[in-house]
Amino acid sequence: MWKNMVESDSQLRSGNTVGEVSVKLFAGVAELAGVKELRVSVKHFTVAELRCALEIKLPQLGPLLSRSAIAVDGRYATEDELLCSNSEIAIIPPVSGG
Amino acid sequence: MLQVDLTDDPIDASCMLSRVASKRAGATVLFTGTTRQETDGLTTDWLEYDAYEPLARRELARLYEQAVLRFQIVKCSIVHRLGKVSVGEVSVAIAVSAVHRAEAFASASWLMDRIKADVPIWKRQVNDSEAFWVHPENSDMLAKNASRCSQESCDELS
Repeated sequence: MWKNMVESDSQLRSGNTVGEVSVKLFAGVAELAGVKELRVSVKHFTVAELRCALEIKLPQLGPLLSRSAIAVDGRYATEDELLCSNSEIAIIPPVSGG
Repeated sequence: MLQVDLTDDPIDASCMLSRVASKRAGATVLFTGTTRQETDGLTTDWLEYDAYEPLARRELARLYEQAVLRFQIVKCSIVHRLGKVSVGEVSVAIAVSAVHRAEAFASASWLMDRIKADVPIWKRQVNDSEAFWVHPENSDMLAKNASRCSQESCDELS
């Protein structure tokens, strides 16, 4: 089953097939979006592409999205990092703990 | 006993101190951050804290380990509240023990600065007439990701 999942992601990345990833939202980003989690279509499965897809899907986020980091599987990710369809992805707006 | 934690319960300062007690320590510093009644002219009735817990716990543990190496402290404990925190209640506590006071003060101050910059915890300021999430202008998270998306990526999607 795991092998199939890997092959599936590989196929999605190599071709033009559009896949989906699940994205968690927090604080002001969740408030502006009106949801705490959503699914986003991607083609190349990179963090940079996901950021662009979110800009298009949720224009109401405005500059708050561009000020946010993206975490993948519990770590801050680089923009060229690859995603899997089952990656845990979170948008991290500017933090305000303390 | 956890040295870093997120909790919905009130923070017990004496418990924090006992966590870092050590015969090797000649100094112990306890910092507590509390909900204040007024910020920039706006009244606050309470704060609501939310966190992306898996990453917040990981970041707190990373900061704990860095502080131990960087300041050669003896023990350290960090606890942050989640949920509703009323005026006067403790929202975050850092306890540090060290051989000398300089390391204890410096490490507690450094840890608080890093928590406010790195750990995915957010506060919502609430009063009678309004409520809003606080996203400070000086804590942009973009540096956590290497660079912005390229124009080509956006063009392809649009």
